[in-house]
Amino acid sequence: RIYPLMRVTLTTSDGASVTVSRQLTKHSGFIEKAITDMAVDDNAVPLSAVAVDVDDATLKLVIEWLTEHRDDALPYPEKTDEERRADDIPAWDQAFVQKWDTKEDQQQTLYAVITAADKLDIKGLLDMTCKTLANKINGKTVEEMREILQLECDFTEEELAEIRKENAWCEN
Amino acid sequence: MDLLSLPDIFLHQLMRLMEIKDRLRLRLTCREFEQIVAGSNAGYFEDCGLLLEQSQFSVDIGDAAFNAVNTTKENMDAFLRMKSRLFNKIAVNEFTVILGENTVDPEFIRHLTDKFKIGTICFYVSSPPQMGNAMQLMADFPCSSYILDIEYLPEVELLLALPPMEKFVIFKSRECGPPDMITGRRLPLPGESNAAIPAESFFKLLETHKTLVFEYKLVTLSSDDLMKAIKIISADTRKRTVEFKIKNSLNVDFLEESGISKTTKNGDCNGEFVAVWCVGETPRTFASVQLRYYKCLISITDISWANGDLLDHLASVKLTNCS
Repeated sequence: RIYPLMRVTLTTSDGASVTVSRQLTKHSGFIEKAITDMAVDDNAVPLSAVAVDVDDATLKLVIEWLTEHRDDALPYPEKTDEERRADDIPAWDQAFVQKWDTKEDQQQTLYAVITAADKLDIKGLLDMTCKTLANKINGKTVEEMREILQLECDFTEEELAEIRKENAWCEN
Repeated sequence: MDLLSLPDIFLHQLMRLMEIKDRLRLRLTCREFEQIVAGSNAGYFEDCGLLLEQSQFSVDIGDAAFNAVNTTKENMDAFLRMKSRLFNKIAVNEFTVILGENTVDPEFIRHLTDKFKIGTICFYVSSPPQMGNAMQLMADFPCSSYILDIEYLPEVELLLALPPMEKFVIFKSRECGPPDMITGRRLPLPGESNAAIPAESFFKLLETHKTLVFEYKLVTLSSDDLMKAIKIISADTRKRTVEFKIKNSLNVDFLEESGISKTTKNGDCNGEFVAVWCVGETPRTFASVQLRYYKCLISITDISWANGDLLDHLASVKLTNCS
């Protein structure tokens, strides 16, 4: 049972405290478990105490997303084998992610939110960020993929040639 | 923070959204990503296909087509090695196998479909040797669901020995063997039946397979047989559909015995039959009727009320209890 007026204080890894409604935190499997299982006094959940590396800036983004999605149905639907769509991201979520494009390092922000969504067990946010990243790399060239994902090629020329030779079977 | 430090659960979820061609390119980005590609679930694909013909094979997986690879031991091993580097699991709704006439190496198919979760295996065969290969594969790869589409009529004994199919289609427009030296008409293939499927065997097949489709003149049914088939479909608690073609005159006899005529209108009832949808015959188009008999929906098209069996005219019948 969720008490709409109940507040929860979350403590971030960099020492900040944010107080939010249980209506938001109910979407986080981690916070709900912490409240239920860890018998935390006064509903204060010190995230850093359980070694979760979520900083204040990232938590604010997570709370912004949770606020928009506070009325989403729970439990989050289990993924079935048949699901492989990435083109069904809600418009608000798309705009939410696009805002990060103005930041100096949007990829770092995305990775930080992904990590926070995983650690806090927020399935809807993890799902949305996963689809966002998939859409960024689907259909891109190898070089574009490396650039988007910030990966360094550590293959030798011979190794690359060997993989290209195998891939050539389905080039046409 | 970099991509490779993200949680495994995320990376694996991400990889399930990648198309096969994206996987091929991701392999080339860096060593660690090559490992992630190889060790991840490719997710769900509606269909995949394997074409085995003479000295070549082709494989379609999602958006990637591995075309016309020569069937040498070296190539097959190389292909299997590459497949093992593209994913470690994959779910496929329908896996279509088009078989050639050469003997199939079951080891290759076993390795090819290793790590595949297949909903239905769909075989297309057009000759007795291909049928033999299909039956061998069904025995080698017991699967919950098969579709079999054959383009000749095997002997009835062989038909009756087939395992239950999700859908069983026999499409035969003519004899499939070589032409006769004198008449030029095509002869039946060795192992091909000349005769239509007798009613007794038709009912056994109807009992066994979920959906049956007989093209051309493959079944010989009387008006009473048609009524028996309707009653069977109506009474069956499982989902059942059968489609076949019968002589126009027999179909008209059956309809008239059931109280259906060219003047029947939507909603008219006669005994247990209710006319759901009737389209009259015109100089350019044949008539169609849709009737309901308890749970069985009967759709008959290409009806010619007046022409009998002129020009060998056949009406198409579909019986189903799946509304």
